[in-house]
Amino acid sequence: MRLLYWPGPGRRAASAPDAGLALVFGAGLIGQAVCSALARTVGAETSVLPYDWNDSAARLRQGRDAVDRALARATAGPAREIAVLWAAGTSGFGSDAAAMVREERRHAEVLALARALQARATGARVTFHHVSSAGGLFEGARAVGPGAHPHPLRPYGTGKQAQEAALADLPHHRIYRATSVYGYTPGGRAGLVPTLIRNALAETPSHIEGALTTLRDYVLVDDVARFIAARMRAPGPSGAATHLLAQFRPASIFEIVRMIEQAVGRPLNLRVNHRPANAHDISFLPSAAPAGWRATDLTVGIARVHARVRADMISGGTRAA
Amino acid sequence: MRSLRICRTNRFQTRGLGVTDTLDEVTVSLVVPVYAGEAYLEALVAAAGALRERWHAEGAPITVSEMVLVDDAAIDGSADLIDRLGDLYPWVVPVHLSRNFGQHASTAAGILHSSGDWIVTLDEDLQHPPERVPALLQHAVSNGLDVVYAQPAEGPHQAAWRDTSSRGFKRLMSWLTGNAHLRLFNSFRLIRGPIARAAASVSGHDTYFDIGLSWFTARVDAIEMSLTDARFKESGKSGYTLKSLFSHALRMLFSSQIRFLSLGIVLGILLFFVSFSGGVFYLLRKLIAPETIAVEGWTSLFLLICFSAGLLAFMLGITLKYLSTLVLKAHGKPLFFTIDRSRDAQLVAWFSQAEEKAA
Repeated sequence: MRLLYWPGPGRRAASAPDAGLALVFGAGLIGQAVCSALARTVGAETSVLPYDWNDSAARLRQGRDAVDRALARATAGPAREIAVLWAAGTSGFGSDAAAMVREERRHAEVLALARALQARATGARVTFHHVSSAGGLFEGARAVGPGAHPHPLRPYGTGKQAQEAALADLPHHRIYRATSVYGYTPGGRAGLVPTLIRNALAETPSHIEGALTTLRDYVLVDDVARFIAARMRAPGPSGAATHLLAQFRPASIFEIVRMIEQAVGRPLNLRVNHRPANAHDISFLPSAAPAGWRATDLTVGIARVHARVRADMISGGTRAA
Repeated sequence: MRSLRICRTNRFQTRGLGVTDTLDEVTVSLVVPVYAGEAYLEALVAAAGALRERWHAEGAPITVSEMVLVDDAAIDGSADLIDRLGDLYPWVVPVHLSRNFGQHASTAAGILHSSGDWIVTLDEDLQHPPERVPALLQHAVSNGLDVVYAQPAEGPHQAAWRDTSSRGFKRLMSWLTGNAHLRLFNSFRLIRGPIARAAASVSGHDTYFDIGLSWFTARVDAIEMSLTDARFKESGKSGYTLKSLFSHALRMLFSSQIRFLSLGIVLGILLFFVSFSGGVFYLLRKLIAPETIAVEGWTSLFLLICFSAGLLAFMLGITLKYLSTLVLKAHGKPLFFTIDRSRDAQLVAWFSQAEEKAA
């Protein structure tokens, strides 16, 4: 878990009246990118706090300590806006009901911390920022537009829907339904794009779990992080809001493979499983895009990820793809 | 019939809000490259909306899930109009290209922004009315096709010289490229979505999109329908100039393996054998009956030239063929491509049910 603090614009941290504070749960692709975006845009200072996802007793104690530290920091700031970000989902399309229950339990604990923080933070507003999954909620649906209602098809989506429902009693919250997020974090969970790039560079076979014609909406993690970070800094009016974060331009795996081959300059050695459990097309209409949303073009995004993966490989990154 | 009922009960979308598809519903995306369509776009979108409503009212297992309007650096007020239409209708997808890339590139861009099971490309000027889409779709699914072109029953321009030259051009290019489907090419086409997207994704600047399609499927056909080029009728101006026709021809040739290349190889082999046989014949004649040769040296010189020309033509043919293979590979011609046509049965059932009702 990370505690971030940033001063108001053009002021020193100690004297900023409009400073902000955030507790970020989850140090994966999105969590790390949000912290980087906050550091880059408002010079957020980051402290890494212990939070043991595998030990519930320790987690409870560490959570209370985190709330105390956050309050102390907010008072010293002082920070009027406190953001709590949930980006700690570890589930995927293949997760079963038991895995989703475990994730929901952890999510509920973080929600409880946010409520405790709100109860004790006088003069500050706590907004809960929740990263959800558009793919899980709208699996198999195409041309998803504004106001669409989720219709999950498997435990993964049902679990994500339950997590969103658990936010209902929080007065201030933002939900970010991200589509297939791609990007690269050394040591983090690798998605389709960095895995294919790494395999192309290493000239090793890539196993595709899906027909090459399967459509997905790939969105660059930097875009998602920039959007979330901006709302963590300035959440806007009180209440709830749900944002769909997508490229709003579907792409088949065939097209992604072609783009990666062009970016890397090498052909990919593909092993395709044509009968995967997760082969439904998913696409979203641009009319569902939130105000202020800007998505990086796929070609540019893939070129950026390629540069990062290559740099990591050159510097000795040896994580298996 | 049974599958249709299942489809209806599984539906969860709220059409007015834009979610238009379920796992069971077949989706159609309309793609329109726009360059100077300000006068026609509202009517075109209204016609697409009417088709959407019609299918919905009929309880069809098909829907127009989106209409992608690609602003190819339009020279009139189309760009703003596209945005306004996008604001008005959630299923209208505005795409703005950074500069004018041409009709093929903007069509490819639109296809790559679509997600439909089927994609229909239309011109901006109402020459290709959306109400004809069901006929294209029915022909495709009934015959297991991947691409169906619309063929104008009468000359679309309703000007004999213009229509004859258009047909003549297509025949010539069909012969040059050896692509039998080339004479069917028309910008009003229905394409199976995955094939359209695959062809669009491998298309480069010089790739002729329809030739690219033929790398992925041979199941191509056309149906005749009444089509009129309203703009040509009104203004007498065609969208195609001599310059653009020349550019089309060049791209068609560069995207195809031209017949000349094989002809060069065959010609080379032929000359080689003629010179070889002639050489053997005259050598034997020299040995057996030297008195019959009146002028010495001329024959061997002729045979040598023949042999050298044959060898050169053969080597050049091989080199060009090799180069052409590399160019096609660079263009993105795939080794293979897989496709699932299993959902066509659902539409075949629907169309026959609709025909029965109509009868």
